[in-house]
Amino acid sequence: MARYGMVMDMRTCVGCQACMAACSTENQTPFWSEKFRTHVEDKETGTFPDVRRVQLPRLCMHCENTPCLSACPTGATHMDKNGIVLVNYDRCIGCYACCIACPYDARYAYDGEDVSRERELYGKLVSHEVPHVDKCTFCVQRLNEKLEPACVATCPTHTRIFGDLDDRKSEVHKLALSGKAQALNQGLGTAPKVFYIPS
Amino acid sequence: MTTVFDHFIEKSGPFTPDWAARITDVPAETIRRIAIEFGQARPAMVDPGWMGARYHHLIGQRRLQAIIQTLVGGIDKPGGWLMNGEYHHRSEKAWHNMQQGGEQHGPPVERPGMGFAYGLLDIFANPAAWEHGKPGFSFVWAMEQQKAGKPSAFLPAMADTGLYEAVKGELTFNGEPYRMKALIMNAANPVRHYFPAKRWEKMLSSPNLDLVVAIDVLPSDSTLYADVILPNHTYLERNEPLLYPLGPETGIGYTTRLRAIEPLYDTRDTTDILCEIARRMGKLEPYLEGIAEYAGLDPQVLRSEVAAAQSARKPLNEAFIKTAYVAMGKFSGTMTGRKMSAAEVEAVIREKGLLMLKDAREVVEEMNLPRKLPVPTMSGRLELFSPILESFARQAGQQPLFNPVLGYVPRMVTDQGDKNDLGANEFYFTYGKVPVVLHASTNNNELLAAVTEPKKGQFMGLWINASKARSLGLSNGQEVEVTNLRYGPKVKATLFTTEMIRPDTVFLPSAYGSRNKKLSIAGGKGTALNELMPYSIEPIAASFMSQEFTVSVRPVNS
Amino acid sequence: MTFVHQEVWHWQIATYLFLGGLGGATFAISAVLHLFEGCDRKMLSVAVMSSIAFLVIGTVFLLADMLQPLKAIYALTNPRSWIFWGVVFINFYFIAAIAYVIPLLEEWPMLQPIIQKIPAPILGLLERFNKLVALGGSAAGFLVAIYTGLLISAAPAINFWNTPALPLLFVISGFSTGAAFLLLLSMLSSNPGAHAISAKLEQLDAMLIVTELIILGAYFNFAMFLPTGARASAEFLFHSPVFIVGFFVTGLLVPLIIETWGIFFSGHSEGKKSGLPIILASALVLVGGYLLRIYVLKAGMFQYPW
Repeated sequence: MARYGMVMDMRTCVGCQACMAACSTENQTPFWSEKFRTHVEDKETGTFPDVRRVQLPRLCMHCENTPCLSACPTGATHMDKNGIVLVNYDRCIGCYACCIACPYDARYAYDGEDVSRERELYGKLVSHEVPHVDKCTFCVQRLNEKLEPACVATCPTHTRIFGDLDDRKSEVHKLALSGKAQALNQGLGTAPKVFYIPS
Repeated sequence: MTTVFDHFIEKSGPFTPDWAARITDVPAETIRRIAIEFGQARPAMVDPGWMGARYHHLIGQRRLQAIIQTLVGGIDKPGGWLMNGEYHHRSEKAWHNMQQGGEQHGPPVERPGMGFAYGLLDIFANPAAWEHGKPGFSFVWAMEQQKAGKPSAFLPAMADTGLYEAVKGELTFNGEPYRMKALIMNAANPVRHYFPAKRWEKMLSSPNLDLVVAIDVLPSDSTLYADVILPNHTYLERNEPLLYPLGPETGIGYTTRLRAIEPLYDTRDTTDILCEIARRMGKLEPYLEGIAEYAGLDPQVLRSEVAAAQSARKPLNEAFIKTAYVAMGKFSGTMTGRKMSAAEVEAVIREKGLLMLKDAREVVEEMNLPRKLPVPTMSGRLELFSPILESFARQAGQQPLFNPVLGYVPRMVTDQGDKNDLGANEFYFTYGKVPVVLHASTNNNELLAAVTEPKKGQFMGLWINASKARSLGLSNGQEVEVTNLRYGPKVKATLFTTEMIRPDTVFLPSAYGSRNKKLSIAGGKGTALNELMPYSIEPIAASFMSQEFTVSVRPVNS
Repeated sequence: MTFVHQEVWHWQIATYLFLGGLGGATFAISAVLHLFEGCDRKMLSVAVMSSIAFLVIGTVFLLADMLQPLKAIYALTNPRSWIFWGVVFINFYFIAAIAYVIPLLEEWPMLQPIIQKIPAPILGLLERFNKLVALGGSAAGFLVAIYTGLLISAAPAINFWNTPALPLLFVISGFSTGAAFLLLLSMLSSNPGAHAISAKLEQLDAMLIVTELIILGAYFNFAMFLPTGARASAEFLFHSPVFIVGFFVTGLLVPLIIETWGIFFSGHSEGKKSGLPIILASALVLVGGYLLRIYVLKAGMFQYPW
């Protein structure tokens, strides 16, 4: 039993968006509808020559005090024993209460048209068989094979760091515990498990 | 007696930090501070960067970077510039050959440094190297230009100089016509990627060109001009025919590409395409011999592997790679003292993705250039004085570009030279890559296009300083016309306003502007960089001078 | 900080919210009027049938907007979700409303044969406990009306929605639309007692609109305080002519003026000629109520920390 979490090191993210592409192929997300499980925000501040540019990769924060879980009437949104917030595709009715409740823009609709297109592309290998609301799952199917999430494995700059927050030897534990990495919008009380090292 | 070093100190006199500060906007105190810090850090490192060939003086810039690097002893030293494994290997081999007595050089691909360039000249610029008695077209052009006292290039080894003239029927060699009648483009898209677009459009549509063949995986702007398109395996379906050194890696190792999936359609490896063409011309034997010689393969093994592949109806590509494994097996013996069988080589490559024969630490230890081995220069040492540039100066006349010590070549953005007082909507121009497109060939990939969409401005737009845009009444996302004020061409672009660029400069991502509508995703999107470019080459390697102009930016009149 | 409009709940949900508030309030007001003032049973039956119809239509719009409406029954799983309670309240409401209306429908000779098909003991029970069912149904109706606001306010990152003022606004607005609808019905009814009812409803709606204006005042004052998502939403609304004119002016102010005139100066509109303004006012309140839901949803902006 773990408590999986992630640290984003914004000092190293170069905005290549390879994570978005890797996640899409691994999880068959509907990139054809411009919908992704993870995004990279590209923010610039200042005026030339005192300009700063920050790349902020984001995804589901797998909050401990999960607002989307409370909002879901069917229990489709649930948390597994390793702290990963998951959606049971068969139980999701697509009411979007979770999308409204999420403070981190983590969710999107995997609708009927998306399922049809997915079938065209992936044939018998489809992983989304019915329409539902979708989001990052920390690649739980890869974790079951002792592999890191696709975005973490792909990132060329060691921006995404993944591990068990309860494992004292893990990088994520040390970074989160030391306060070097902080969660976003802490004031809301959602207790996210994704932390950020500012650039 | 004055040394080269004395010459350098004298020649660098006028080029003070204050002089540089005026040109670069970097404060003189900063330049001084960095110079001192750099000089005292042992080693320090200049990062030379990529894609620099845009100005006449680029070779001088690279040379100066190397000189600075040498002055702090940062050559082939951890923390400085490390030569790659292949360079070490070739240098050691050349040194070894020389010690054995004589100039037996081996194939040009195996010679280090300038030896490689001269080796190429010996083949492509040497009429005696060819049955028909004529050198390569780019060298013919260079020689003829020189004879006529017109601007030429000294080492147009990979240039297209003379090609258009040969197609047009205007090129001669020693009074004889030098015609170009057929062209094979292998995984090349010159209409979109070479400079300028118009030159290649005209060339490929010339009535004098009887046959244009394109080997490609996708429709491109160049396949539109092909008489025959031969469909190629994609990178996932492709086996390479040879083993290759590891690029910038300091250790000595080799790798190749092996297919991830079986070919899905009726396509071929390039090797098979070229071998089949050679076979139908009745020239397969000499072709195989030539490749074996060029690539260091055993011609016997190659011939028998090819025969075996032919009778088993297997792709010939496999024959080549098998021969390459045999050659590598033998070669590894010379490196590690233990020969490997072809099967062992293949097994290591399949398992690890590469075959390491000597790691970086060992190479830097045992083959250090110049601490253990002579550098492939005339003196065997790192030379700051450039005999090559001096030879060019002797041929083409003294000028800063060919100064063998130090020559300052000012920026030229007009026919008269530099320009510092820009007009109201006049800008310096620069271009570069974006992370979502590889070699400008993946812009049709649906997934990458989807990932590009959220950052369409940054990745596809013409970058302009936001404050400057406002002062010109221009806004983000606006369509504009960009005119090359020195050479004339115009293109349309979409503005991306940002503070991440100087107010006097605009930047264009280089990977878009495909016109072929058969490219369902990329066709018709973005701005084609090479439609803004002139045909302007520098006189050493004939590389394109792609930023020696200014541009104007104005709204498109709808 | 980035402000982004929510993109999942559109006019279909707005329709459900509006009809939910309208239906629940219509029933509650009708039942209370019936219990405390007494009124014609035929009119009452029309009112209650309308309120049931509103909820049915609303529910259809709600289900049509979902990805998997056929699995809607799963919504009765997680009691921490307001949708769960919505399903509970609405079902409770349907049961009560149907139980309440059946005895009332006996007023309609055409329906008598159908009603007589109901087994006599059950019919007897419905008639005996009619008043209790009315009370229960009113509570359910009120809960349906206020739950729509509670549902929308459960959005921690949509500052404009995440306030107790929203459920208050929705329930007051819902009751205002209910009163307006009943006012419309009573103005159009040829029943002799209708006039007295209209007078009461006119007063009720006017008071509700005043209350709504007070809540809106406090709501926007709070939203404008700092440059948060709430202020961005408020500014979005200020720049929407349809919201300002359609909701605020013709949906609140104009009906209030008309009703005030009707109460104080026109003797509650005797005669058909002076009845027209009141009918107009009721219609405007209904349109305004619908626009309020549409625009509250449109104005919902997430406040993201990047």
